[in-house]
Amino acid sequence: MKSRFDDAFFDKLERLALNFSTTLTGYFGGKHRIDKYGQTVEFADFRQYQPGDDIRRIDWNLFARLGKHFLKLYTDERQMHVRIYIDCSNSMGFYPDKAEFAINLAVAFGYLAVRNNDKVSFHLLKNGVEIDPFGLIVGKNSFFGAVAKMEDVTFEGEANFAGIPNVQIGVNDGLAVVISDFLTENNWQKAVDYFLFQKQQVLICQVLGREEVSPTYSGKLDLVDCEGTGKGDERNVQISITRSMIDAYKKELGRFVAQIRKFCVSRDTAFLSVGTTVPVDKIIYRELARYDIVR
Amino acid sequence: MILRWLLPVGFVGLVAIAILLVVYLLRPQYRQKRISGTVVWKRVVLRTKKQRLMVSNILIFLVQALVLAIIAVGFAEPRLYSQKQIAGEGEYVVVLDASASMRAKSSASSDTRFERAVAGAKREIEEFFSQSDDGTVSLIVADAEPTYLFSDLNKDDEDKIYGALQTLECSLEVANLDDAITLAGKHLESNPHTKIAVFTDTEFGNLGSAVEVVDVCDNSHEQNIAILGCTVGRVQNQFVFELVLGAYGNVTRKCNVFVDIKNADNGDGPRDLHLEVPVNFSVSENSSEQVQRISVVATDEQFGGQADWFFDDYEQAEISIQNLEDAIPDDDRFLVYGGIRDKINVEYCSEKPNGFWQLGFDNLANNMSKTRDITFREIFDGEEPQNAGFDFYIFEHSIPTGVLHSLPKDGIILLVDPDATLNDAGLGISFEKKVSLGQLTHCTAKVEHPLTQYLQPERIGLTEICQVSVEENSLFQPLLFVDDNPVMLLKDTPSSKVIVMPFSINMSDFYGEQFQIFLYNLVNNFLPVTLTSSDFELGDTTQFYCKGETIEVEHNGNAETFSQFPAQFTFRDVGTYTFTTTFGLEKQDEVRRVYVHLATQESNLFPQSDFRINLDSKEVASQLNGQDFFVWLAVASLVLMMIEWFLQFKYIL
Repeated sequence: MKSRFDDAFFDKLERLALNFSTTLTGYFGGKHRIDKYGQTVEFADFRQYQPGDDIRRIDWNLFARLGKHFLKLYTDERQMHVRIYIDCSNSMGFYPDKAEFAINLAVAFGYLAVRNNDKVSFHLLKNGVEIDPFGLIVGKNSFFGAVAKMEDVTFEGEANFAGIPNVQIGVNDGLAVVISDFLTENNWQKAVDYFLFQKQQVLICQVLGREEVSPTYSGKLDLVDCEGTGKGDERNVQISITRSMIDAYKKELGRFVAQIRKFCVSRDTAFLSVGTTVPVDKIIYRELARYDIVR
Repeated sequence: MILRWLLPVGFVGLVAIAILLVVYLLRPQYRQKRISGTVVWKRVVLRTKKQRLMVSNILIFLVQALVLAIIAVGFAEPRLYSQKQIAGEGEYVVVLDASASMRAKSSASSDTRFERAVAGAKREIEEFFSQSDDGTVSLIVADAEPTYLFSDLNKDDEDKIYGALQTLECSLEVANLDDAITLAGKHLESNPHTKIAVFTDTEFGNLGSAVEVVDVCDNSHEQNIAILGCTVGRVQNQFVFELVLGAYGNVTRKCNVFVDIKNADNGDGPRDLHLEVPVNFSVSENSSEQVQRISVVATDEQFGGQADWFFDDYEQAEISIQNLEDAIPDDDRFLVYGGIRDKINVEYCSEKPNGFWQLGFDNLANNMSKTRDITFREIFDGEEPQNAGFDFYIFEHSIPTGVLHSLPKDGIILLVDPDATLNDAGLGISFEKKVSLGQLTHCTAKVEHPLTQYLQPERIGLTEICQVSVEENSLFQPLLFVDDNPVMLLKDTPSSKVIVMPFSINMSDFYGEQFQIFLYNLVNNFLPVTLTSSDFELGDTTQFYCKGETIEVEHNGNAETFSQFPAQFTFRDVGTYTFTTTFGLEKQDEVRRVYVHLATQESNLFPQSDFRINLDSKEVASQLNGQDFFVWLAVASLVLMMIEWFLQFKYIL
């Protein structure tokens, strides 16, 4: 699998940064300003001295003018952890362009993170388990090393979103991005609830292939689910596909996406549904900016 | 048995089996297609099925309802009729009124209305044939039951037609003109060119354009005085004939009414009487009528100067009027029979007499005095009871030795509280011993019989009974019981009628209302009044009863015998009918006579009808040619059932 990203694309991304919530606490040493006061050099506010405060932080000039003790407060900037969960099930790899699109989107998110000194980790969901092949990535060198290995990622079995809560993650320390087609009966909502419980910022990103958005097949078909056991699987559907059925499918897909969006809205979670026909860079610049995920 | 096919072509229906096979064999073949996920498609299928299920359910219901409706229609055996225009030649239908009023004779021309109607019909038929060579003629005689004299005859049958008209006679009955015109109207249904002519003296309203009513009355030369009825009653102890006389037409004069009474009897012996009563009529307008009621009283003078003379009975009274110009002579004479009431003689013999029997029969005599003359004779000590000449013989406790071995054979015997001496009477029943019941015990009835109708057995209480044993072939039927012991038994054969009451009236409360009802049943069951009236109108149907075994009804030498009663008889002729009752008992035959006169309405010379029907000429007549389409219904039903099966099948898939 070849990455679509080239130097020009990364140059474009250089101008962007992920827009994290200011309520996150993260780690020391990052570039993301948060609501709390810290030890940076950028002035934020004054506060009246209270017993126990560090007297070194008293503004003596102000004391000279007003005769009262005030502390000088500075902003705080933190490092965030971006966890990118990629659905590597058969359904995501069934159409190569869809698989490539998902990987590229994940890489883009990763780059936006490392560029701002944030930590990145990729979590691959396949065969019912969660794999973290690259570990915690900090810095561009490590990131590009991981990106090179992403070409070897395979898509197998089913993605088990409900198993995500089994792996402990940090609290209030960053962003969780879930990239999947969500064409599954698996309880992915459980994973979202877990992220929110851990006070993570969450972005749900649905990727749908061209054939999934607008099927081109027709006639009397025995539709076999690629994640199933083949003929006789209960997920298979015997159906006579006509033009009206295609229209019904599109309406139903709209309802399906709307249901995911409704869930995300109810959890105050960002949701993005994209098709593979749209280039990734456009998605980054248009869709993510529109949803205020990047700035 | 041989199996045959009335419609072998029906086997073509077996093709349906081939269709069924094809449907099964040509099931859709589905091609496999791997896709990334079927989640959305499954949702589509579920939603579509849900929508289709709703439509499918409605369709299945409609189809099932249609199948049931077709089956119901099939049971109603529908037939398909088509309407055709029938272009036939003209028809002429004549309706001749043959009622008794058509016998009215004109004083000017001395011919009757019926004769004028026949002549008029003949003229019209001749004229019809002169205008239509292919037309047909029918003639309906409207008497009590309208019938065709001839039907659909054409010009070739003219001799036959005129010959039939010559022999035609007017009836004495009431004409059923309504049915006759309705019958003629049926010709219009098959031929819209039919013309109907009704020759009658009855005035009709508008009967429609197809009907011509020809009035055959001669109003200015017709008048009639009629005896419409006569009832016999008593006014201040005198026999009175209440006459109802009717005058129709232009009658302004005096008329004499004669009453001839045969065998009038006041107890001194029968004699014949002749009474004459003048009556004045003043009807000046034609087509008018006047009805008078007059009482004919037998005065002292007419009875030979005997001031207190009146008669109880008479055999026959003939009432007649004398009117020389009378149009209908058939209603000028009237006979009244039935002055003689049924005589019922009762003999009561008891060694310990009680007054209940006397009292009961006296009450009955008062209540039935209009129809019956009941005489009660009690045998006192020292008298010998009679064994002949009575209708009822009541022996209480015992029977005198003189009668015991020669029981009466001409009446009904009642044995009340009999003792063992009666065992020698050879009745087939023996009386054993008296049993005290200790307290008042009430009766029960296990069978229904006219003798016990209206009786309430639970209100008849006894304290002592006599046990009886009945021989096997004695024909006694138990009617009432006390504790399974019979307390009223009846033997009712043509030659012997015996009622046994094995208990003492004195030892019971059977003496009040229930006793009176029993006596009423006794008389009405064995000696019913044969006829309820002594005169009837022609065409009347009466119900009559029999005191004996058979009744022979005789009129003008023709006799008919009846043995099942109550029987019905319809009077078809004017005059006297004799009803002769024959008894199985050794009694003389009883003769009753009734007089049958013209129907009152027929004396009216100017009758009117309220018959309303519109017989307009019709443009289209329907011809019925029913076509059975049961087969088509069956096919439709089969097709619908296939559709229903297909819908169900599709849903299951």
